[in-house]
Amino acid sequence: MDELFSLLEKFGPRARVNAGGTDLLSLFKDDFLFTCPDVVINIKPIRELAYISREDGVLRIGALVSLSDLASSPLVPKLLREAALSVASPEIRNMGTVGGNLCQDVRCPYYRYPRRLGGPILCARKGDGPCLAVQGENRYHALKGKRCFAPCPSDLATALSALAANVLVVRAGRERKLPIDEFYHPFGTALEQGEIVKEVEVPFLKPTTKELFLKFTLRRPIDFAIVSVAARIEEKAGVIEDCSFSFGGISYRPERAREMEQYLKGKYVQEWVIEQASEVGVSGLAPLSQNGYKINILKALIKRSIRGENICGKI
Amino acid sequence: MGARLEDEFLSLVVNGQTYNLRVGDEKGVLPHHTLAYTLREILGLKGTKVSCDSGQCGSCTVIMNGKAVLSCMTLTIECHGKEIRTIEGLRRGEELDPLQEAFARHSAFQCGFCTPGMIMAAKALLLEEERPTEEQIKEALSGHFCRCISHYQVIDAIKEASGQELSEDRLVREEKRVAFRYVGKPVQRVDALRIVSGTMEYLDDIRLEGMLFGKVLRSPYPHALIKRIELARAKALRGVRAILTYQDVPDLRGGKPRFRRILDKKVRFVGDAVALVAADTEETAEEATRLIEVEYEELPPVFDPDEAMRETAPLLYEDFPRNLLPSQTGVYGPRTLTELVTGSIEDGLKEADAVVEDEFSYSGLPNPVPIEAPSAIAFWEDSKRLTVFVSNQASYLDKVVLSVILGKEIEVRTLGLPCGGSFGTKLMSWPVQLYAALLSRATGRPVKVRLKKDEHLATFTLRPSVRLRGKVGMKIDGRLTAVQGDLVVDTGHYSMTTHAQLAVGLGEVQIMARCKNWHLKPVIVVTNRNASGIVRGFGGQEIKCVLIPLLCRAMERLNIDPFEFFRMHFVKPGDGYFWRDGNWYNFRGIDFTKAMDKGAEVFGWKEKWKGWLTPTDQQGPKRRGVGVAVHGNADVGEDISEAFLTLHPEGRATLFSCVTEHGTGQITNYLKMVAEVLGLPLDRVRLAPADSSITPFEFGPVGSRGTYAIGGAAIRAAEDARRKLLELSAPLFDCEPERLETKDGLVFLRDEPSRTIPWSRIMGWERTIHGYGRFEPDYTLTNCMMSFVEVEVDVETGKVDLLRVVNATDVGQIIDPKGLEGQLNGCLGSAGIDSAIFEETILDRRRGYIMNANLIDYKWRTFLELPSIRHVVLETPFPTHRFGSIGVGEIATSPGPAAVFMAVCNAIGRWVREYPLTPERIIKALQS
Repeated sequence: MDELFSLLEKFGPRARVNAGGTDLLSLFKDDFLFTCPDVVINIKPIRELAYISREDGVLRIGALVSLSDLASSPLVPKLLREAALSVASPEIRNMGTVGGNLCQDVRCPYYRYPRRLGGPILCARKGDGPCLAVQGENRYHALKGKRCFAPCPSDLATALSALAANVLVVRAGRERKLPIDEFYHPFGTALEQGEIVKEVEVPFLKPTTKELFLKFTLRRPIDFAIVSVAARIEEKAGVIEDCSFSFGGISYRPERAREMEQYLKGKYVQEWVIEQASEVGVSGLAPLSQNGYKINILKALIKRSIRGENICGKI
Repeated sequence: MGARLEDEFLSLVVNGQTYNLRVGDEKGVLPHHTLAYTLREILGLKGTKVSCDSGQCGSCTVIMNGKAVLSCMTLTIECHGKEIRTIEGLRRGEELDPLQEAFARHSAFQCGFCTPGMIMAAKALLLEEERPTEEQIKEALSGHFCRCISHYQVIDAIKEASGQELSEDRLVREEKRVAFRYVGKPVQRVDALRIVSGTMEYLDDIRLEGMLFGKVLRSPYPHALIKRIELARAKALRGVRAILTYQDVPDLRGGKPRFRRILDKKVRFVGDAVALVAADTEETAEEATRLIEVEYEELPPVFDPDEAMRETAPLLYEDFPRNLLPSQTGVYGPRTLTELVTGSIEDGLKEADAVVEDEFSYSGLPNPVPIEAPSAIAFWEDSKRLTVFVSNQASYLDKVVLSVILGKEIEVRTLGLPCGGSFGTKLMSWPVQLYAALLSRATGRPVKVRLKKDEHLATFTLRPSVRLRGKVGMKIDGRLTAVQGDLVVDTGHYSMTTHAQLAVGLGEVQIMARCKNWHLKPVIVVTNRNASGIVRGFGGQEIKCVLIPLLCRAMERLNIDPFEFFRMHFVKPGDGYFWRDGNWYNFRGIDFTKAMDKGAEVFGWKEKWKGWLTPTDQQGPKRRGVGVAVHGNADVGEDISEAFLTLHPEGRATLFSCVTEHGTGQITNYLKMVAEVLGLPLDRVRLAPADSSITPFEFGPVGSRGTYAIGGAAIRAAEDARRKLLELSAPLFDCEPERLETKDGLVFLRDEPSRTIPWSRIMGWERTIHGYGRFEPDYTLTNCMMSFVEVEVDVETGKVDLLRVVNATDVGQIIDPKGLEGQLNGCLGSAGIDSAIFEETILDRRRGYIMNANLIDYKWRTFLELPSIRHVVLETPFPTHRFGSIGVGEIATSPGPAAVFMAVCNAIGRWVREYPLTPERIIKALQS
């Protein structure tokens, strides 16, 4: 780690950190940014960042745990395992890491438009001009946004958000802890120069907790979520005592549904409550020209998650 | 552990052997080298195939420390000390791994390009699970891209290799006594061992001395004039050998009509070629494209065909007012079918009990996207002789196309390599081949040009976009009385075969539906996007996709069962049709009703059909629906084939036919046919390389012509050689040649088989015998494919799931059941059925960008999304050649999309009017 910090210091913004490589290499191959980092620091050999452990009421997951190890660990809550299992393909899950999944760049096709095909394209996210999706092809874009409408691509983030997890980021001589929802900014992550994700900290769940991860895609696997819902529900005799929901594919970050959670708390689960909750869940969303259907999907997933139906996919 | 840059060597253990590679040396490891690159280029292990080079297709999968990983997304520098296993490391000496053997036995591949990656993923699975469940198998292979659809047979192979029972046979055929030695029986493909062991050499595996790499600089604008190109910086880059722009190359034009310049002052779509670079390495060439500075004058683009046809629209070509191509190009002679006009629409509509009018469009521009990207290697023997290594299903045609473009002065020779999938598209490879040829001419060295996957998706062949606005008249008993319609066909920035596709498509509608009164009138429009062109289904699929829904509206009105409609209307013996050349042909084939009935029975059509716009079942938000459609094509006997056949005295034969294996298994089938005629064991018959300088003319296995046309020429060549052999033998037996027979390299009297003389004694060792066979076009036969589908639609999310497919056909005589099954499974690949569900090219219609030019965003069917599938295949002999077979492979994809469209509309109880049926469209339809 010390060596890593000194390298990060030495190369500053010229350097990018490489873990699984599955996202970073595409940056080099497609050359979709105007500037390309000229140093890659490979952190994969840092074995001390590949751990899953339980202590002090929390589960600690090191940034370099592979997605397949995460998906198969009995220590990990089902919701998070399912989210991990829904990512990409088995080979990618063998390579990709928890930290990398959280830090991967967005999938907006304008942003990622390759140089080989006449790119890169300048856009709001790259520091100039409008978000091209607004008046362009936006079927997969966010339902919330200001200047950039690229949704957060990380399935783990959505799951971790419903689990109220924290992200531990470090750099030389400093560690800080952020709630996962605050890890994302409209134009990137909260990582500052020289920082990397070290760990994810997940509070324990009660054994009675209902947890679900529903991910809507056109097909399994490979696809990024068009919409996803991660849910954690504490129920007693049909009454929701506590819950947290987070939506993926909706905005630049996993979108916690706090209003809806508030609405549901103390309610007896029945169809009209579920219906009403889904309305609360989608309130305030403003679709672009082509992505209004995402609201329908989100409503459906919300209802299914409250009912405990996993009929979005066979994950 | 990863290596450190200051380390001198990096050590890799590959297939048990340790390699120490010098770090920082381009012959060793550079920091940016991927493991795939190191394996292929440094260690020479070319069995690991690279397709997408972006971690999206699985073809480069290797096993690293016991786990399947993608070698294209792994940097070699981080593999220090790792144990890596590649396809080459699976066999123990001569002995194949049981998995490889099972793949070979089950023909668990078609083009074979994805196979090494699949085998490695399966191996990694079996290392963890001795007897994996079917779900585990599907999961383990779920990231593997295969457009031929080898999936089902791959699952069989893995199950068998792990000692498990196979699921029920997907091919439903009638008991039949097979009278042949090979024909009709499953035979291991002649290239099976090369495919499963990773030794099959595709174009990307060819290395020539001094070979350079070509790259293309592409336009960022959909429509622009090039004002200035500055090459100085790019030329100064070390390793750059040539840069060509429109100013440097002759005015070479392709297309039909021939209007598309290879490099032009004007660019007409985002991704159009602006400059070509040849350099010592691929990276240097790519780097050079970045250093070229181009100044453009932007022109207004046009993407919508309706807008393009306006008088005020910007013109792509001065020669084509309103962006309309001339309707007649004479592609199939002076009377080429450009419009279908028979009888009287007015009379037909008068006679009808119901008349409907509607509009449907199939304009999602699906891309069949074969796994191997379009590529070519070219070199010049001298200034007049060009040789091109090509990857195409019809390599002789490449010679013809290039010869026409380059002119009579240039002698073109093509060498056809195994083709990693084409589905028709690679017949449009001439620009890629010319790029290589021009760069080779400029540098005096061989040049390879291989498109990257994004270039493949954004600048190569798409399906044509078709919109139909029309009217249909129908009698109360379902009889069709009139079909009238205008077809607007958008071909993108140029056309090579769009006229031909329409001519064939207009012929095919008459095969599907007999009707006295037709008037279908197409127009072909050019727009500022990547070009449409040849794709499996060749015009017919595109027209069916819009015509069948229109027919359905009339059936709905009169409550006609679509199965009964198609059954009644499909061409029957004694009927006929106007074919592509404008001539009328009387159909002399068989009645397909029996196959259709059997298909309906296996599918359970009667029980499932509940009437129009009525789901067959519903549970909660899930609605099920069924659909059926049919397609037939008289291309089974189209065009010319020629073959030579040489008999060797040692009892062997060589077939000279210019064919390459592109996944259908047809090479093995031609050899099977030849082996039958000559009475030789299959391993005594081989195919000569597809070298246009040694083989005779061959149109190629396009359409479904392979079995009848190419097979016919091969059979005739074998018969011709056999006749000559027996004539030569007759004096030795002192009898008429007709009384002689040959088997296993021996000639004998039919009446006295014990008296034999080997070929070697008849021929002597200084003689070979040559036969010649030619196939002349025959448009009097058609094939038939009926597809039944069941879908489930989630009405809350708009998601469509394909649950079940039953295909029904009659092929006369099966040549190879496993190969045939593969072709029929192919209905799920290559822009087939899924062009109704999720296959589409997303075009930004303001700026001209293709937004899904990668294998994540371009959707394709995965192992985890396989429907249940069965194929009813009957064998009623056709009047073709001695085996009575016809081909059917091409049309497997064609009826499916229209069947799915119907099924979804039935499920949701609403008509949709555009393909594909995305959640967005379904939800919109449900809200209307």
